[in-house]
Amino acid sequence: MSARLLSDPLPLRPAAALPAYRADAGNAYLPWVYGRATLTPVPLSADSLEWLVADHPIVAVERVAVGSAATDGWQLTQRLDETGAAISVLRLTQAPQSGQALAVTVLGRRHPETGAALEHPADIAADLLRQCGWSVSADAFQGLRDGYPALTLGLVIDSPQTLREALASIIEPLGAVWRADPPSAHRAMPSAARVVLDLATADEISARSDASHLATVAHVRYAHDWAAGAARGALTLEAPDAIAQYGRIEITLDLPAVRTARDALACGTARLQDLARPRWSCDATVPARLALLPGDTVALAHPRVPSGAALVMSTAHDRSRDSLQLTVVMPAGPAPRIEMTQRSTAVDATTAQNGVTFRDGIATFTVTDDTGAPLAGATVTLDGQDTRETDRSGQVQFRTTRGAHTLSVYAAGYAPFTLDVVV
Amino acid sequence: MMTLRINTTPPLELAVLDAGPQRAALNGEVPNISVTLDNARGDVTELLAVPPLRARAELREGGATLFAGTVQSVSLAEVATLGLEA
Repeated sequence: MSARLLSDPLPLRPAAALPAYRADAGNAYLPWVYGRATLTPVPLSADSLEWLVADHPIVAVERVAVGSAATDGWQLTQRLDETGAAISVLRLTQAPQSGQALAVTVLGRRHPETGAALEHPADIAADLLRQCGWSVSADAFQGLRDGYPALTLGLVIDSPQTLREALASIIEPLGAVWRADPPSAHRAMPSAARVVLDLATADEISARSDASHLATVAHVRYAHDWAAGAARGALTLEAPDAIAQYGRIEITLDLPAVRTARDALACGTARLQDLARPRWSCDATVPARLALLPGDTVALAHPRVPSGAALVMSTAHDRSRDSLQLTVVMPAGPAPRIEMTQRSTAVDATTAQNGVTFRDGIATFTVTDDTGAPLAGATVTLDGQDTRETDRSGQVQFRTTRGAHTLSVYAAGYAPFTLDVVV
Repeated sequence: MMTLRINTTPPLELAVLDAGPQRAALNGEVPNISVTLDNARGDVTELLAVPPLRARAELREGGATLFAGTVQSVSLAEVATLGLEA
């Protein structure tokens, strides 16, 4: 197989590629799943007992919900379809009733040799290239492993997109930069300089900064639920000193594949630190022998432009002049202080580990911090009306009805926290 | 002689080489002007190493204000060009 180009579409298969596909699968594409993600599977059998959860082998199905209720009546089989492709199929013991949604939480694609889940961005990016026929070395995207050692992602790819778009959607929201040939990526910040751009090396040089990219408040959405079609978590981050200087400029940062508040906070903070201060973009012409590549770092030491370490964003080789035209970027001033001012998440009572139970008209909520430790003495308000405090176990109870509710949580030392809860 | 006063802390007062046309239009284009400063020796680069984006600025001549706005862009080369918007 010849390798696909970055501008070629991913080789996703339409549901119509399965000889036995059901007409109500419509124009769906058979999903690729990486890491832990919740999705609506593609119906396979006419009796609604068999559903395709991924167009490849997966590590596991972790949870199946019919309507809003979790069920144990299912079995995962991994088999070849009529075309010889490996697929993962969920077989239910009882078909969902008409109008009942099916949501499946999956731990997705496996490493072909180790069998481990591919959930680090470096592993996912490398696998996407392999699926497109690229030969990828083991240390490809090592910069992502170094920059985000503990990060795990969860995502579903189920719509047509190019290889470039898929790689960008995984790497760029993290605040990282990448190039395809050779495959590499790292945090979007300068590192050790390879070359000094000064009067001796830079023929023409200029710098530009404008206010259009500035933002001082970021609404971060993360943990996208592909079955519900919405993010399950949100944070608000603010740069107070930048707000005082530039005003309140709000943006939304979508991190759909980021699963945890901790990772969303780390990625969102890094991106807001970049957005909440001015940035110089410098154009320079240098000799081609310097052989600079996008992602390299240069030291700016030319009297016409501000000094400092800058990241090479793009290069253009002019063969007639044997020169390289560079565009490099550099933050101006120190990284601003970032504060989390709001956090919210959506919780489904059918997931026991979320700490929500409902019995005899009493909803019990367990409020924990990021480490899972109970938060005692937190003030919890249900639907803006009834306010109580959590006990030593972090638990608080309200008499209420089944349905959707909003919990507002205030605890000393934590950003105000909102939970959208279905009990 | 035209000068540009930028309301940073402390304020900056810079000699202006030239000011472009003062643009205004119907339907929302914010009145704007570009102001050119001499940067042959790089002294504006030193002053504006952290660009004073969104800082208030006034273009003045003979004690009169010709244009008041905020700094929206800064370009540095042999000359420095600041884009101001009302």
